[in-house]
Amino acid sequence: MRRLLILVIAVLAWSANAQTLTIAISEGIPGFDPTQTTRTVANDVYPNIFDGLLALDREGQIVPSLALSWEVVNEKDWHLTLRQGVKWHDGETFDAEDVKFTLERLATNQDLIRHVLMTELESVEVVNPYEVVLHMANPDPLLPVNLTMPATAMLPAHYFEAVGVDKFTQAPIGTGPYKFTEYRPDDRLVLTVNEDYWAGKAAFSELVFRVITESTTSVSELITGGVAVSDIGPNDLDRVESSGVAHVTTQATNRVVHWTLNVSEGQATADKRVREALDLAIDNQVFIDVLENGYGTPTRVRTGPGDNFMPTKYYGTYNYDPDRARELLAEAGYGPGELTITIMGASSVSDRAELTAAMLEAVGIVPDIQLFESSVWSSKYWTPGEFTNMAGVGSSNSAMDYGSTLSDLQCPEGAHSQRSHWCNEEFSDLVRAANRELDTAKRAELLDAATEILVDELPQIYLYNSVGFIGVSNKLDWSPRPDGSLLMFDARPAN
Amino acid sequence: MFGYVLRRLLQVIPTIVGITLLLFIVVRFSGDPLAIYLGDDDMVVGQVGNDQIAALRARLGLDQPLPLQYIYFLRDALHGDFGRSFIYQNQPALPLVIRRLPATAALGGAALLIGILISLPAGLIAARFRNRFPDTFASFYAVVGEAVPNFWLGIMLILLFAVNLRVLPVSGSGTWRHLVLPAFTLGTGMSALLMRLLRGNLIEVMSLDYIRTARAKGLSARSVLFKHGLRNAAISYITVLGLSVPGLLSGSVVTESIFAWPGMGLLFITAINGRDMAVVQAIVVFTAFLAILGNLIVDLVYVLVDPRITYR
Repeated sequence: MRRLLILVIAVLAWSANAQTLTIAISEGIPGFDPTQTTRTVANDVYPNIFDGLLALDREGQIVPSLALSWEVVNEKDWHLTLRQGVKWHDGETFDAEDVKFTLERLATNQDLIRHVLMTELESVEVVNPYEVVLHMANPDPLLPVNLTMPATAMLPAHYFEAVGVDKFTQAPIGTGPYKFTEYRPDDRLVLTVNEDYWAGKAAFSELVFRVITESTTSVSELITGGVAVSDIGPNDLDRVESSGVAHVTTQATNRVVHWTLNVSEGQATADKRVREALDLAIDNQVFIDVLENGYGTPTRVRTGPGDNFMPTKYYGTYNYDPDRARELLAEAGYGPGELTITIMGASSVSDRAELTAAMLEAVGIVPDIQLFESSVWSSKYWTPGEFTNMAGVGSSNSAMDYGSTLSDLQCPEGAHSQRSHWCNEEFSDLVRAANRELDTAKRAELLDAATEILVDELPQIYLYNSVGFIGVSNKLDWSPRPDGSLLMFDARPAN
Repeated sequence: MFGYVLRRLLQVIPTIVGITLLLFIVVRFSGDPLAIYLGDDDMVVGQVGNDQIAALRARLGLDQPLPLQYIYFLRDALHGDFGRSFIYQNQPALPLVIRRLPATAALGGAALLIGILISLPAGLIAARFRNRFPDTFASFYAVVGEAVPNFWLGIMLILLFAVNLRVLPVSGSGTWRHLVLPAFTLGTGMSALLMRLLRGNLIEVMSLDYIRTARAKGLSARSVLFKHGLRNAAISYITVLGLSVPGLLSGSVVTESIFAWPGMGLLFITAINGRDMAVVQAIVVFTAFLAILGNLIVDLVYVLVDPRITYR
């Protein structure tokens, strides 16, 4: 009898374990109001709890989620039909009032960090409980992609109004495949499967996100079975591959590592010939080989796989011609050793800075590396006039849209344009027009024309599109998504 | 005695005010806290509008003159309000800090216990067998224990006990088994320092005249060592122990990161990196308060150890 009891307990314990999926995340979740954070990790976790009106599939295509269809009625108005029978985690029904509440809150409340996503929204008209019309101030081709982002995920009007924002950020409800159960700050987030999920029940009954900031530790957890999914640094790839219990998967990103150049008058980099010489002096492939274990793609544009309207012509190529660089420097009036270029950045870019410095030296430029603690650097970079020639930056764009990426260099309002002081009116007009153009063919043409100007003018020198590494347990059937989301709805135990 | 304690408690006020002023100046001059919204090396663009930054600045009171900002800060801090975190979605800063205290206290307490359990016998044995094998061994331990950095020791302990032998969990919290490795990592360095201190003091005390007198009047070696030697050698041991308490309670950034221990150290490093001023200020003031309290308690314990010390 006792043996039987032990056996039963053992089986129960095993099955309980088999149903829990544990994932390592590199930082804690600041709170659960998706409109109030720009932290990547939080945005990767939210889709398990909240659904958007639209979603991105594994190919990066926009697909229905809580909205079944979306169409432009006239240039500025979008008609959306909502999915019926969707329940919030507390059992209430999701309907058009929730859409109105969520989107109008984001559009009108400037205090919300992600307010910028809905600045074009004027109002949400509730036609009936399952139909809405979004009235935009301008034609907005970015609206569908914005509606896929975690920050625009649907929030429950009834619950939000009942408990207030402070309570909501600590105990949220959504319509997603998992329900919030518990969050222990900087320790773990525990989610329980949503039995009534509109797309079916997820395979694991419990989802645990463990906060492990140290990557060596999370890799140790991965190879001892403590977690089933973990980020891996390039140094730990072999350790995971040789463990026999987990494997390495690569994750495409749209993060592009680059140098921003200060082109304002008085700087050496104001001269286009100097900028071109810098570009020609730099061998992009070396960065990939030395810094990324050979993973990554050289590029002349700031885009990556999964981005809509990605200009493939300049992706996978780069210019490297040190002789021509020397000639251009001579034309600009600089002999060997006569031009000093400052290379600035956070201390985390030191390897990149040193490689670049060596390449510049090879064409007769005197490099001057200046590195700063990261928070000091971020205020230096964003304070106009604080950096002189080259600033080390790596950027991704969560909108997965090339037009959205370029708006950053639009003058005068684009954030990067304000740092590099590059102001090209033709470029800015093209990007502005593209981001108001609903016709995809025309939009692609406008963006291509803007790209030609960018590639010619070089306010930024793009090095490579980087790849993420994720370790996945051999007991788990799941692969990373191109948008980086850790949505675990489709995760299954491996056979 | 009561007057002394009261006086010491009153001294806390100017100390804390001085600390807050220094802290306020350092935090404000280390750069624009809102720059973090715009990102540094690894940024996701198009998330925050430039005009929005101005609105946020006004909401956080950062558009006010500095002296005024400080006065507001001090006024609110007196009410236990250190402001709201702008990383942790507007949550009040002090409760965020206090919620981390149990985890940090558990780790700090266990490390302290390990520090004492190793250093006390090791120090006694080393002093008793001076210049012989146990002493050489203990001295070697002291040098290695102090020289080895925590992050290296932590990773090695994980590799040995969690990855290879699989007898303890790699990281996390919740059971006593999770506590073992981080507590040893933190306690080892401390035990080395304490051991060396105790050994040195004991050797010095044991060569004094009154010890010779004690021996001459026929007391047993054990009685001389414990009753006369150890009590007198313990003053500096207790001082260092007391001073290390606030350090332990404010959390160890390195050890907590390596073992994913959800304590104050992790919160502190997140707050500093994110320029979360309210949280940084709450942690520093809280730690300073603990340090002052720790010092006071040590001073009071002296009386128990050494009857010659009195407070008026």
